[in-house]
Amino acid sequence: MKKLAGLLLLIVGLTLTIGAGANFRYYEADRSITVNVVSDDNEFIDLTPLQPYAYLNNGKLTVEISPNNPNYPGYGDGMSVNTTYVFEEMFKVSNELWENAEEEFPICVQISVSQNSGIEIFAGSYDDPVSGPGTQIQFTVYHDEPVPVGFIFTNGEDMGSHQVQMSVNAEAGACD
Amino acid sequence: MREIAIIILLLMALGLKAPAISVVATDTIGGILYYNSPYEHNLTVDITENNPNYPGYGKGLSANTVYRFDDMLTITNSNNFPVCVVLHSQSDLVKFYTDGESLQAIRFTLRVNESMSVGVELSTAELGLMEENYSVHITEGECSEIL
Repeated sequence: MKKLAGLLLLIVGLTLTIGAGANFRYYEADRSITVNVVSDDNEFIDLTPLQPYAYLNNGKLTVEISPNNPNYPGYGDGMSVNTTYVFEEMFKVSNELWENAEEEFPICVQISVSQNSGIEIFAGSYDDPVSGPGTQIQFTVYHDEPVPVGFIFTNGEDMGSHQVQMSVNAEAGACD
Repeated sequence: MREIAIIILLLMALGLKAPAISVVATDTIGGILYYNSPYEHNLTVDITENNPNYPGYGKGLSANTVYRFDDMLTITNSNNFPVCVVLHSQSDLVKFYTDGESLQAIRFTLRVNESMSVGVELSTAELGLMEENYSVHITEGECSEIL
């Protein structure tokens, strides 16, 4: 029994030494980052198609007015030369950032298309746009208040297919 | 025989407990790292529906995008001596920044009670789950000039 007590004391003593001797020298930790990469209509800054002319191609919003569009109904192959088409609400932008769960967390969204491409965009309605029409627009998006984006196509003399890149940029906070 | 049994039990208890204690201890001693953003939970950046902070909308980031989250991590030095903190990402899809430029590895000195907010830049590729790792190294004393 005495031996046991001695051993116990030794263990306690050892533990204390380890505890007291644990001077900080070095800390190292490996941590993980997991991100779900999802389609444009499910993500933080949602781009959701509202018209059949817009669809998600491999998760990416694509506006396509051609028979290659999966929503192509078999008629209306495209737009003719020397015409202007206005499509309201081609897609909408919504703010699904998790910060909104705690407090209002608006974002300023900028969308741009190449200049002189014959395409202009506007936010809101055509008669009363929030921003645009232009090749570069910006507007504030609050959670639960998606903003629709419309397109104006000014078709010139050239027949054939035209491709234009659109880029979307968003910053924390309402637009100035 | 009985004595040995007790000692073995005690040692087992010590052995099991030791890692838990040391993890807690280093997490506090090595400067408290705590989450400051809803995307961070227990030092794990988790942008999926599995994150306990998931509010029911915004399931992730979309493909081929670059997201920058300011103040994703806040690192506070609660020691009574300065420390050098090194964050190192194992992937170029994950970068850190404290000012303008984002880098795969950043380091900075934290004086006593000083905090640093670190932003995380995520670049996404194709659809699906993206799993990356980064490491945190904290050493006593200010960062030296040579990396």
